[in-house]
Amino acid sequence: MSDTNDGGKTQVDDIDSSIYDFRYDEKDFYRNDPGLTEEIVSKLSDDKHDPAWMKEFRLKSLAVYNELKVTNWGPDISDLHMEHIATYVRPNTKMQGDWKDVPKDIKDTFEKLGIPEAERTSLAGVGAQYDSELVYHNVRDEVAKQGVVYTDFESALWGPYADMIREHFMHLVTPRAHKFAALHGAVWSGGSFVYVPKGVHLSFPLQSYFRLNAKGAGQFEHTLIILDEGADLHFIEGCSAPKYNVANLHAGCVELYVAKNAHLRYSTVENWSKNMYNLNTKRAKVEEGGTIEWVSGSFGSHISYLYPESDLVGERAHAEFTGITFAGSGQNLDTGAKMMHMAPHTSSVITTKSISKGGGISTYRSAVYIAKNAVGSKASVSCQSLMLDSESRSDTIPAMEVLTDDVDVGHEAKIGRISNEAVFYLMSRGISEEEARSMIVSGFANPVSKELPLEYAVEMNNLIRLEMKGTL
Amino acid sequence: MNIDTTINNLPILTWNWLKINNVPFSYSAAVNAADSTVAGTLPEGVSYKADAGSDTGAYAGIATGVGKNTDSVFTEAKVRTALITAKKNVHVSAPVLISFDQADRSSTASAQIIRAEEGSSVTVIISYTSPESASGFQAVRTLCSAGKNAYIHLVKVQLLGSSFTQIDDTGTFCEEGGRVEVTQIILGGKETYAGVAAALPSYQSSFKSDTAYLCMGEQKLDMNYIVRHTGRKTDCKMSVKGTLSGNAVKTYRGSIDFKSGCAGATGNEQEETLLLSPTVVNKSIPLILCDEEDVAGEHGATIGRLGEDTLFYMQSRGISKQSAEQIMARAKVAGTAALIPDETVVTKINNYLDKAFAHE
Repeated sequence: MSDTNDGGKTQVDDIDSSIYDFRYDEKDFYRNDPGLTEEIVSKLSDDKHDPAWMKEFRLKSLAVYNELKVTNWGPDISDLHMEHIATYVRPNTKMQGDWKDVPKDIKDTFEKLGIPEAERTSLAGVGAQYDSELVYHNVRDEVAKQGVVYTDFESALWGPYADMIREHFMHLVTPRAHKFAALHGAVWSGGSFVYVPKGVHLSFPLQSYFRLNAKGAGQFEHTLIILDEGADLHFIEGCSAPKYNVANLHAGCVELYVAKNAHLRYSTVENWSKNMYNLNTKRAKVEEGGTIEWVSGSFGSHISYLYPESDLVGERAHAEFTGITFAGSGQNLDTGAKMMHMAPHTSSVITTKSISKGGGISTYRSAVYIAKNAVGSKASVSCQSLMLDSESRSDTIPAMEVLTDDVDVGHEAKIGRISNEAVFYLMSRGISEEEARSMIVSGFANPVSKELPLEYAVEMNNLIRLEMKGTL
Repeated sequence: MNIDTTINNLPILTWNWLKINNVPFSYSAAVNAADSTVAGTLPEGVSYKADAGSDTGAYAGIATGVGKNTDSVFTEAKVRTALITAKKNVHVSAPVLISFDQADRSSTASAQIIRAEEGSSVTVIISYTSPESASGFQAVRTLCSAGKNAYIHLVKVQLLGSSFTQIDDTGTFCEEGGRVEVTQIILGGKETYAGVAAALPSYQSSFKSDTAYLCMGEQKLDMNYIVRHTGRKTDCKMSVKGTLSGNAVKTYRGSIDFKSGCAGATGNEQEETLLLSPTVVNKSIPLILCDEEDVAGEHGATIGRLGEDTLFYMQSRGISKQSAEQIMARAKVAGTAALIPDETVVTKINNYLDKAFAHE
């Protein structure tokens, strides 16, 4: 901490006290060669005992990857060099169904992250991925008895749902979507498959947690969730990694199928380390009367590109995206959402908050598309940005495309800083300036944090408090 | 002249599939220079040069909304840039009128520089007309430079024939306390590419734009408005209102760019779009770019057809749905036209609307 005074503000160094920044050695782990070649992809496929179609799919995806260019928009990722990234790191364990059987280092990692405790108290099932593979997967008996399938992706490829997987895998997010979707198609590993049968409502959420411990590696998990007619699920995704001085890459893929009148809430708290390139792709297809709700907290990563897409293909389908992005020092987080209205009387709501501090760059980017046949559709976008200093940057880039007249589209955006009057008011009540600013930021984030599961909301507020330390 | 380029570029790129980062533009035909002649008597306190000559160099750094990619249109046509100057501390009460009455199948380019010296104020009204169904091409570039505490009100009224293509390019610059207001009415033409870039580099300089349009039938309107705040306590307000019917296609890019150092700056942008046909295409992208903490920026957009409550109210007063829609479409233009301090021009706008609605 330094106590220099600059322009009336006391400058305090950032505090690196992240609870996520711990690591263990890769003892007896398998790690493939860094880089991306046909040989590496073939060997990965062989090692994972892929079905023949999957191996072919991987190699075709690799060809698409080599063909596509990096986007001409968004944050600069020229420092990400695939030739230095190991695309597959397998821990020295098989997937277990009991935490007792998980190797100590790995178990300790998830204990520190609070996963086993959360499983005991408030979850219907848990999947825990360490580097490239799941190390733990379990679902409560009463949930399984309802016909709910929650399993690791590799098992699902060979199990009774193999055909269902083949029919859905990378059909929503195709390898042609963009270069890193193609990369995912080539080297994906890990992730979860969920199927909720017709009419089944899960009263507790399922949760997958992704931990990337390996230095200079990538994580490419695939999450496929299929909700049958009238089903209801809350799925929580968490992710973190220790910080290294070399680039790590996360290029996961989430595909969500929401059938007629089904309801899916997909919550994410992303807290990757600040050497991570988070180039993740998420897309949901929502049928008649179905609902997808995205709740997203983006705190980590060096660079993020993340815009969950909702394809409202059935009449009266509905989507909501509620997100917060906190970009601190060394971070360039480009986040937002895409709402594609492709059927009559569909509706969507986007509510986002972004905070920039310490030279961080936060960009809100969205697209609302209303097709010609989507008559009677409604879309609402509200985005607010908070600038905490003049070294930071915040951009708002919302696009709207409307191809019919019978619509109601509203958009509002605001950008500004913490109100001096509000800080003064709180300080006049005996609250320190730092605490006052922290309270105001927490209040700003509240509409998002209240949508998260309680333990994540608490975690998010703690993160904000940590990030706000030293802003004066 | 052969031109094949992109214009109306967004200051920051987004998804290419949206086809909104810019608009392709190509034109291949001879373009003739047309002078910007002042109609009637030049108001007192205003000087006029038909050819600014080497004086144009002083204004070369003013960025425009359509952008530099159309420079060749003006240079190849050997356009003479007119220089209109409001003299220091003179408040010019009567507007300066410049009319371009385009002939059928004409193809012209023109340019003007409007300069308001310290403490002066002036209104310049530029109108574009042609026979009703005329075709042709017109490119116009207008640069405004408001000196210290000076004020420029630039009015542009586009009433061209139904087969015209027009590029209307504007750039403005303000010194300390200077202010530029741009009032733009776009009703005619087949394809219109309008762009305004405003630079606010000086303390308490400000910019305001009010744009109204009516796009019917096969009309295409592509707009790009950018305000760059670099000066402290600068302010901008942008309003865009209009109606789309038939197979009309409209794109609106509106950007407020708070650059580092513009402490105390404020910006506000509002867009209202009334949609009257199931085959219209509306694209909007209102940006706020922010590199400064001490700013307040906001934008809002509403896009949709006439509200059921409003329609019900009007129908309960014996007004048909079609009449109600025309009233609302006219109101969007009338509100902006009311800012024009010349009854003759406002009457022309009203007459144009009467004819346009009569053809529906």
